[in-house]
Amino acid sequence: MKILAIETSCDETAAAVTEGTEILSSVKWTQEIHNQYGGVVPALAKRAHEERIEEIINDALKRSETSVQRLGAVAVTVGPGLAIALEVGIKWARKLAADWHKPLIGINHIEGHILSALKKEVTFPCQALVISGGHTQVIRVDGIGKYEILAQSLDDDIGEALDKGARMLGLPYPGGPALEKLAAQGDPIKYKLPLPMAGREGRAFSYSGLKTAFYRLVTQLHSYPVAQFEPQEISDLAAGYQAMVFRHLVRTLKVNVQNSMFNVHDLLVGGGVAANMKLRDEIKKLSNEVSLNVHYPANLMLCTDNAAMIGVAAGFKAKRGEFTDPERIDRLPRWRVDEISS
Amino acid sequence: MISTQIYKQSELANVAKKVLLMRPNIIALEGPMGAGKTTLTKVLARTLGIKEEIVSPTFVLHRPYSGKNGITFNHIDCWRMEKFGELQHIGLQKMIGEKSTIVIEWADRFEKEIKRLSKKEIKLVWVKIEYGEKKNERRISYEDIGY
Repeated sequence: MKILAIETSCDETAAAVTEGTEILSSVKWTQEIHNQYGGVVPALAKRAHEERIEEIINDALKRSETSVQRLGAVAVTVGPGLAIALEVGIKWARKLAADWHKPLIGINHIEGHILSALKKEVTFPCQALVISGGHTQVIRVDGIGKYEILAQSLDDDIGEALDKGARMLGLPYPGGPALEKLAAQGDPIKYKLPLPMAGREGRAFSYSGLKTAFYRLVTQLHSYPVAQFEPQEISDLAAGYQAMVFRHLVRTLKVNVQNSMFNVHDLLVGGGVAANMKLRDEIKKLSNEVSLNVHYPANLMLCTDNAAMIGVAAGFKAKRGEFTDPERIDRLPRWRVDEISS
Repeated sequence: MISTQIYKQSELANVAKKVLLMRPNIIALEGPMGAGKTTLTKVLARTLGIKEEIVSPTFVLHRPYSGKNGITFNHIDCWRMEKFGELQHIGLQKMIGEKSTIVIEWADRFEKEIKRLSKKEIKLVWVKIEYGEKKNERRISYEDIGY
């Protein structure tokens, strides 16, 4: 069944056409296509999904070479996310489903991230790691639609911690990729930073203490502005901070894999931070240690927010006949992935 | 304006109590990264009887929480916002109308506009957190912004 999927849970306006796990088209409003649509948009307009959603949907349909008649359903992210942003996507999905007489499928954004890394060879139960600017979760996956959150953040999420650390070093937004690039040239043990929750890893992530320590370190070395930093100094700071952010993640992940009593053989990783190659190295090391098969989305564009993952998740729902009542579909800004009823 | 110095995180409870005794509708937080704005927000929420874990709202801009007796606690973060309009866009006026407690992090980004919200029936308390010389030392000042 071909599905048109819409995702507007945060900054990204995205639409895609999928068929099962196959992606026929996936379009999102990103830096890459800014030019095509006429220059970089300011943050306020960036969040005004209304202005561009129609264009994005039409583009996704066109690129997939699918006529509306051949669509089997319309899927949309209903949460978690920013309420006013979610509303835009839901309104459009409901309207299109009604106009075209198609069933509607409401999807959990986190489930989309989890399932975008799912491969045929994965056996359940497995674990999933969803890491982005707005999420840091280790999830036990007993099957499609059956999730249990094993660990989540008590304060800042991992992508946010990376962005804010980058900002302290004067790097542009989004800071994560800039930090990764600099860190590759740096010495991660030049500066001493605290490991969050050392020895207490398990149910929670916490990045605010590390963020504070990093701020103190940066401001102790030099008072602002950051322009006074030597390039090597910035690289060493970036490397040290990023290393500690990832060490906390990997140690927490390890405890959760160990707690599964070796019952878990596969790990699904999704979210924007999953695009970081240094992190992938670290997860690879862990996977060798605890014999785990690690799976990522097929390409880097599918790590960050996108609509294709929503379409893929909806494909599984459609197969099981799980559709959403258009009269009752509503935004769920804080919908936990373990609250999905299936 | 009242200024105080704390040396331990546990001392935040006392600060939170004093701020809440001013019966604010809006608590505006100002302070550099990592100074403890979210940490103070956690303590404020706990003092008000919110049981849920308060997590960073930076990414979603706004997180509402509810406690006993219909108490609502709105946690807003202006870090990613560029215009005051965005703050209004997430429903600030509605939150004010509902008489909930509103905590705004990075309030200094829109200091003028937020201070203008202070009215007879809307009390605004401005809290500034600064790093001290020692590792866990913070200077915290808070004042009732008149209208």
